[in-house]
Amino acid sequence: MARLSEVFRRDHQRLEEIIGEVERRVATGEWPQALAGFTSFREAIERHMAVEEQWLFPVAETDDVPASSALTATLRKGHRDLRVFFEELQDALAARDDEEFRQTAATMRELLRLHDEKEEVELYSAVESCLDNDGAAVIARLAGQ
Amino acid sequence: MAEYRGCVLPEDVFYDLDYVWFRRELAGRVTIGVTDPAQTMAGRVQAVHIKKVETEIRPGRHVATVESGKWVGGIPVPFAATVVERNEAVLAEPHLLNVDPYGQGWIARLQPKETDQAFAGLTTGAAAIAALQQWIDRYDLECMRCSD
Repeated sequence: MARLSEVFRRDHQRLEEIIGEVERRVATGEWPQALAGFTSFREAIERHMAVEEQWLFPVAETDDVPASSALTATLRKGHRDLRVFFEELQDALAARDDEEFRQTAATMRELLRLHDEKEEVELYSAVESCLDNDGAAVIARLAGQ
Repeated sequence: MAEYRGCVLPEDVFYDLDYVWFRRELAGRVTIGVTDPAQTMAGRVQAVHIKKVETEIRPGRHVATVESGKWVGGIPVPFAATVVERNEAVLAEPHLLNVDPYGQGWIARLQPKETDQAFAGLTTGAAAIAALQQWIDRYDLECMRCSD
């Protein structure tokens, strides 16, 4: 079975690809496809963040894990900030405002890149050794099972 | 004007106690910008995007986004408002946020939907300065103003 850190890293890449495709659809004026793609992106990233918030952050917040509560506080704030950007992107799509969408998406993707990097470097490796058999359950939840 | 670890913290503006300040203007308008400690932590600002004039901002949404070499994020507005003016000088020269965060580096002017409620969730005066000093200590900051 794949390691938890590898599964979450691959999911980051998958989410990047989905939002990249949405940006391409907006650039070519394919608004219905862009909206459908963005709906898929939000569902996928909300599942990803929910699994982290419910299963990984609490593990990182226990005393025997070499990741601190300061780290999860930063990551939880990152999730809140990202959700505001998702709402703004949804509004830009509804208004078919390509300039607003492009600028907001560029900022959101950079924020997401920095956030993902922090999780991959500091969070996943710190928690996966503590999850033992629970790691498979977390991976299953990420897959929507 | 309070100063702590080199960070300028005006007592006469309101703060969200994270990285944004708000100044009450005439006719109920509000000017918004980033604090001195926040600009220090962000480093040299490379790009600023500000919502168009007449854009309606819902509570919690961003009026602008800021990008530096090591930070990117939105500038949140905690109350419903309309953008009435953008700082064109900052759009042309984002580095003004670093040079003069409470002056030439202001970001936008807003007209709150409910002027009386706009500052309800914000903090000012001695309580704000004390909270911001804790913020500065938490990140172990010494403020710097890049002049070039």
